[in-house]
Amino acid sequence: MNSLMTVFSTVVGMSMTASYVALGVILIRQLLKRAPKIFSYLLWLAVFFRLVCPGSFTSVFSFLNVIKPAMQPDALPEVLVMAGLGNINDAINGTVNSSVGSTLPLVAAMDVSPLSMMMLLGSMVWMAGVMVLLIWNIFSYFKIAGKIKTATLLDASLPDIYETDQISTPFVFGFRRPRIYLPAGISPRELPYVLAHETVHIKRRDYLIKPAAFLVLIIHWFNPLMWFCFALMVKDMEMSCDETVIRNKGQEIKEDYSNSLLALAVQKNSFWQATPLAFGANNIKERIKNVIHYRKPGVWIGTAAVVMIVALMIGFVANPVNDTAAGQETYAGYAVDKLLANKTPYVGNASKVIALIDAMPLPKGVVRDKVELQTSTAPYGLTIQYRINDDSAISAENGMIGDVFGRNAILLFSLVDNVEVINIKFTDSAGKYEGYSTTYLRSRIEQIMQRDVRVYAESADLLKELLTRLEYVYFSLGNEGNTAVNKAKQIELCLEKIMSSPLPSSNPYDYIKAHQAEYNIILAMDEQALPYLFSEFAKGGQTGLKGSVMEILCRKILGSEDIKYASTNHQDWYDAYKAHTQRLTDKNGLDWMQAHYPKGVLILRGEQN
Amino acid sequence: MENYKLFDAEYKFVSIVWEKEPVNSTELVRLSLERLGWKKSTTYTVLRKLCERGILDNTDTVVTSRIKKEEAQKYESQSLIEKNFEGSLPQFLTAFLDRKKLTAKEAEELKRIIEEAMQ
Repeated sequence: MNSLMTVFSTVVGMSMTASYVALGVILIRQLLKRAPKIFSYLLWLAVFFRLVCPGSFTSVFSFLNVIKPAMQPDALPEVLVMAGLGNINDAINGTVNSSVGSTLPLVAAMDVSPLSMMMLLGSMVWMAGVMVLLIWNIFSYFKIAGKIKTATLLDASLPDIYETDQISTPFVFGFRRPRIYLPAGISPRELPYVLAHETVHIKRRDYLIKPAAFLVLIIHWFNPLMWFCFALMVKDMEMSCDETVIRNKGQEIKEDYSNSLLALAVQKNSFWQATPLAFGANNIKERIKNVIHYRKPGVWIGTAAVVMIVALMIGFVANPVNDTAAGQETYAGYAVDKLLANKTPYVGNASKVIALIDAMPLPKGVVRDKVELQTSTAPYGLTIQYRINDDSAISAENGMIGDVFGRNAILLFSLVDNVEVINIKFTDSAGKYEGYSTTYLRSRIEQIMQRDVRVYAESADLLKELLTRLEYVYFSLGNEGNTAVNKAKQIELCLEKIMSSPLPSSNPYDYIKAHQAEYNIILAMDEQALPYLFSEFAKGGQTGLKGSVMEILCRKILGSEDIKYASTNHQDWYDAYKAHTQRLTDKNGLDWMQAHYPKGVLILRGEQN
Repeated sequence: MENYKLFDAEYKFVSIVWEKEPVNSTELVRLSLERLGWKKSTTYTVLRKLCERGILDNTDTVVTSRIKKEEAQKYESQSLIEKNFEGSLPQFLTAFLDRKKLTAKEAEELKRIIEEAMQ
């Protein structure tokens, strides 16, 4: 059932993308009214492609950029995707739950949300429709096959041209070996034109194209625009076929040709003959007008049209550049406007939450899978599953894999007011990170960030400030356990990296410059970095490069709490500062110190640890 | 009489029999393929149906006709007039003569056909 729903949502997605392309084709077709119809006929290939292929290559030169900026081709509205992917619980009543604080018992008992029920029902109706149409067409196919079984050769010397009194309009029939079938008693005046027309159909493989197009139409039967497109395409197919006959046989046959079209049109088509498996004449009035007005195009016009059609096709077939923020300003890789636009008070607001998740960058080779919302009871939560297709792209350098996910989690805490827990789970096709998961708690994030991150969602400027801070925040994946130990490890790693180069230099600032990111990571920890740094000094003997870098870091973090001191011996600075705080504490007491020197006082705690 | 109604294809098929009878059914299959473009199965299906309707006879793989060509033609022309001209011969003639000029020979032929049809 789930796979049927997945197929259905893919089909609906393709149908929607194809609809945009179809509207474009219909528009251009109107502009090309005077041009040879072969161009309009070719344009339908773009719609066909969209109806068949779920994906495409990307290009800046894609009309989907113009038609609908920032649209994700072949993507469904998030609500549908949610339901389709089986995010049952709460997607719909999440908003109600979180604001009112009650569950709808019926829905909970059913364990299936109304939305996914609808989705399931929809995909079943769709499948049934496909089946009915297929069976009906196979039936008409055999009905025609039966009717033309006793058709006889028109002329024993001409192969593949048959006549029979069982049909009223000429057509081509057969897949492997197409044959022309004529109604018995076509007058010798009309015969050459009818044969010329049908022969062009055979040469162009129209007898295969039309059923193929119809098969695709059957799959997209629920889209009325596609039925309209099919009718237009058949019209273009017939008209361009007429034009080819005129081009081959010369302008002077126009009148006779039109007359034979008219003569054949007098017979009425019965409904079953409308089946695309056989060719019937239709749209006679328009076809006659088209034949009368047809002028063989000049070489230049022809060439220009060809170039234009090729450009149009690329435009229609290409996907917009695959940037979630196509056409939008980004800051540190994030589309700030899009994030703010989807800010929501409730994690139950599925479409906004999903939009947020999908607006955030991911490492290459990682795709978002299922999203589950826990909105029935507090703490409200969010579980995001990611699928890792290529783990080389996110190789855990220094265990940094959690970085981007942690950043994204903090943004979610900032933009979704009532979410308390965010779970990230991984499935890995390579197996390296299979089953890996991590949990972010709002309380923990607030500890790291030193404030309620929701305030950052107040304005674009604040959000940008948060993004800047996040550049330098370090997260480790997995259960953090003893955070002090983790912090110490992180600082140690960063210090090691800073000291690794450039070896010939003796200026500590050269080392910092070469490893600005690591330096910033430690700075971002702010006062939480101090206990480790102080404890390293407490070991004594920090007179080398490490001591120098640590002094710079400590003094930067301490800021206004620092003392005026100048020396090349870094251990001396530590000792002096420690003495300074000790003095102040003795004089004013610990409480006063906590209030006035919250950072400096840590130096004493470090001793106690 | 009703059984003599022949479809276009059946008429072509029976014409072969009239021309070649008595004819072996294997030979008939070959002729049908050559002239009508029919598969063996189609030939046998049509042959069986025409035998059931008493138009052809297939005994020991030798096929013969049970009605004469003239009889079939007479029926065809009569039903044509019935169908298209509400059974009125003058109406048929007017329509016919409007379109082309007749040669003396054709007029003679036409007269004969009408006489036969009126019997």
